[in-house]
Amino acid sequence: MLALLRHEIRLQARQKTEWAALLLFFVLVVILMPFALGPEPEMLRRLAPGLVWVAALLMGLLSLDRLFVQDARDGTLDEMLISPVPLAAIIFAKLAAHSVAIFVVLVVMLLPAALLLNMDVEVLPKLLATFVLGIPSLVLLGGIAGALTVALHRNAALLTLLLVPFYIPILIFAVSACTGDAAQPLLFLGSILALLLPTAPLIIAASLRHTQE
Amino acid sequence: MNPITYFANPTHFNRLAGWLMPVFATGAVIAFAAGFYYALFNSPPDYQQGETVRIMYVHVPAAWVGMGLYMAMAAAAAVGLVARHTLADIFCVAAAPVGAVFVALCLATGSLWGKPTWGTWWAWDGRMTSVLVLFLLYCGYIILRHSFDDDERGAKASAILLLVGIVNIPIIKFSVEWWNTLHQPASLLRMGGSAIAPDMLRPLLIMGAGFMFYAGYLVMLRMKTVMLSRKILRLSEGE
Repeated sequence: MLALLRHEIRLQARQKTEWAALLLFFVLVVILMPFALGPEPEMLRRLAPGLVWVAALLMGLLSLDRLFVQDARDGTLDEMLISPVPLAAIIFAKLAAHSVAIFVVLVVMLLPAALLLNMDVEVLPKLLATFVLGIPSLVLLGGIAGALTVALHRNAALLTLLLVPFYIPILIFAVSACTGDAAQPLLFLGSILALLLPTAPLIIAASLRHTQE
Repeated sequence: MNPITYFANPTHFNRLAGWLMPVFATGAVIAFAAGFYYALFNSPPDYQQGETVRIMYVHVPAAWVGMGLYMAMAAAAAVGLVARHTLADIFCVAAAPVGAVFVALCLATGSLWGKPTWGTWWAWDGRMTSVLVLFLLYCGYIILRHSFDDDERGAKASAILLLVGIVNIPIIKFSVEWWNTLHQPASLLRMGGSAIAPDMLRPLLIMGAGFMFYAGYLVMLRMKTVMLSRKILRLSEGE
């Protein structure tokens, strides 16, 4: 399991250009916000956590395309299906590595984004906590949708449609943790994650088996 | 003999549908006639909301049918995945647009009702948001179901989506208690009995029956259509 995880993380680390593109995408979405909403510092300060979360969510959606589609294209997915290692375990490692990669990108860009949006310093630790609890949930849900659509060739728009309904509660709790009292929304985020952690890899494994045979 | 081809044989279903569809159709006509009479002429206006309360007789049954069809589809999806019963997929394909339209009707009438009573067309209240999510789930299901070239794969993938989406149903049901904001809490199915005046409950239940009969009729009709169109496709492919 650990070896799998290390392998997947190394794989993600080798795809530097793609993650750099996603990182730029995140920053560009953040840069667009003041143009769309107006540059008043007070308003940006109030909206900053929500804006960062929307940018993170969009970046997450964009990155999901690479979760299974590439593996299906080069045959790795077939290897995974016939591998003696349980499929759910491989998927778990894959999704964990993906979450780590997104998390790294977000942490790198958090300070610049906070500066651009005039964010309060005391919001930063709360925002980090919501990333820790929220990003894996996004990736786990994204894995389900990715596994369902892997047989389709152009699935980006469909992925968005399938995922946004499920992302809404995560976004609500994450942003309310940053703007108000953090304890209760963080507990909700944690319980969503606790629910998804054991179930999502199994659902993904089942849907990959069902749709790939 | 392959069980899939056996169950895909529409004779059994067609016999049932041939018997049920006239029943549903007459039931719907009778219930709508009686329901409209009671709802429009023989029920009191609300002491606060006035005549706008009559929107309820469309709004609430539409919500029941929209949620009920989703639960039925999820149940059928589970059966379809386990027992590989093709009819389950046909039911889901046929019921999805019907359910989506009823949810859309529920959202639209809710919006029309909200303007005079709450002073706004839309608010991001828990009940409204979760029903909007239900509508998006229906849309996602319909598009996912139809975007596969291989029909059987599409059936399986979209069945899994239906099962995952079921988490939204309890959220809709309890949203009015968890986030008690704008939408009123449950008044029909609740501890301690219904809180609706009997004069209003009567048209509501009759309209509910009418909506269910009508939805049942539509779904059966669409199931027959889906089966026929698949038959045509098979014949034209020369299998």
